[in-house]
Amino acid sequence: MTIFIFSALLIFTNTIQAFLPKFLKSSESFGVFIPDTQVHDERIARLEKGYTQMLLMGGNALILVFLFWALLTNPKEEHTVYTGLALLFFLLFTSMALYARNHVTLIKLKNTEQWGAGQKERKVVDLKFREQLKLLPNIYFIVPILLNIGLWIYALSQYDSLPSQIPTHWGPNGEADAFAEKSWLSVSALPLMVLIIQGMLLFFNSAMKQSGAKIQVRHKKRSRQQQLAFRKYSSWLLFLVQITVTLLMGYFQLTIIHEDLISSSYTMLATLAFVLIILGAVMFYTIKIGQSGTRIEVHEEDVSQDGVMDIDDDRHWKFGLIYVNKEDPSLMVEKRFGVGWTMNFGHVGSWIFLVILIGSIVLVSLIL
Amino acid sequence: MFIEIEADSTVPIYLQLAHQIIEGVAKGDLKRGDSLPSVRAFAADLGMNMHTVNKAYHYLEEKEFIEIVSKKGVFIHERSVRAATVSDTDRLKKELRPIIGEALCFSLSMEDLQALLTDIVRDIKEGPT
Repeated sequence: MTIFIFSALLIFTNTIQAFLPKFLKSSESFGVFIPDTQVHDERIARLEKGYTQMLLMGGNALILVFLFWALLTNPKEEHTVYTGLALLFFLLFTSMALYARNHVTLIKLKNTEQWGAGQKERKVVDLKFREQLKLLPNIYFIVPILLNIGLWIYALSQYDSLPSQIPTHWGPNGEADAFAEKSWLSVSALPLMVLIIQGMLLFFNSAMKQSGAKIQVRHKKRSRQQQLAFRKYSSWLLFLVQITVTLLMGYFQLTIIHEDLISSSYTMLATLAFVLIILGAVMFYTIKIGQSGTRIEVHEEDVSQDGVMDIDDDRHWKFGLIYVNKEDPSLMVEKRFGVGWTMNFGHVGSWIFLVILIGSIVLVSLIL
Repeated sequence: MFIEIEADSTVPIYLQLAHQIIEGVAKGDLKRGDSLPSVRAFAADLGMNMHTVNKAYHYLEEKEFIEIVSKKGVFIHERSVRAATVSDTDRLKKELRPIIGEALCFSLSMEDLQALLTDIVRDIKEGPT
């Protein structure tokens, strides 16, 4: 059973990864900025097609081979796990290598052919963007945090009646498979972990409000509508994760306090529902919305404009993946190669956030 | 309302920002009391230093086109569209003078200048033709 779920997840992520170029802005390919005059270049389309085919055929074939190997030879569980992990890393590595090759090819092409030469670089700002931006207010994220803290206090208030072994990990069958000695700290471990995740999501939601809008000079109205929608759905996705994580972990917390609530079928059902909801939401976000909202159709027509292009900010993107811009006050920016967000590593706030995040994770795991 | 900044223009970026906001006011796209983005949000949208936006805002504030209310935000000034005061006219005269000097060097006649002005006014009010 586990092997099927694992293979299905691998195929799912690999297929999404393969079709990634389809969900991205046409003005960016393999992390390279492409001027409007070049977006229909056949060579770019060919590179993207090659990437998709390679991952789709090669990657999924490998996963299927792995699945049949595991089913037919029935290897030891640890062998299956290690081979599965090796496969996962191999797939990741291959897609990165393909990305890197195409990234370099495109940069070379762009430089030798001087794409966009003779066009004036323009930066567009919509003065009313923030007024139109409809992100969920932070209170939506704070209420689940309060709920978690409430459960935490409740657990501590029931300290004497708690079992002497506190579950810290649950297996795929819904039963706890790792325990820690009862102490104030081990009782607090789960709510603390949840608090870190909740705090992170709250931080993302507020950082998104401050993130710079990328309005395209030749498609002002279209890109504005798409960005507004993309940010709105990003905020909703964060909220969905916030709610589902709070509920699932709250349920686990309650089963610790009231052991009679434990029912492995409920636990399995809750976990499965959680995974399916998150996967469904991510799929909707990726396929229906797309990076920066590119998959959303906009009916507002833009006046066509020649001789201008967006600002080429390749120099701020290391390998097209990592954004470093000391001037830009945005903490979060839209990814170039991927659907979602990344951080501005030229901003000291991003580093503070990372140090706090990693520090608190290390701290909680040391406690246990 | 969209603002467009040219990256490698000889006009400094803060002036480009200020000029376009003034034109927005002249055209009526920006009305008195309308809010403008915060310095941080504006700079993020530009992907540029907050200092640039600050400079533009102070330039506009000095000319009474915008009002910066601390903790509340930035707004188009109540007096943004106004009957020119003596000092407004004096400043315009002074700032136009070198341009007119240049025009005279290019041997533009009074009529040429008039036509140029009419053209610019139409362009600001109705957008480029």
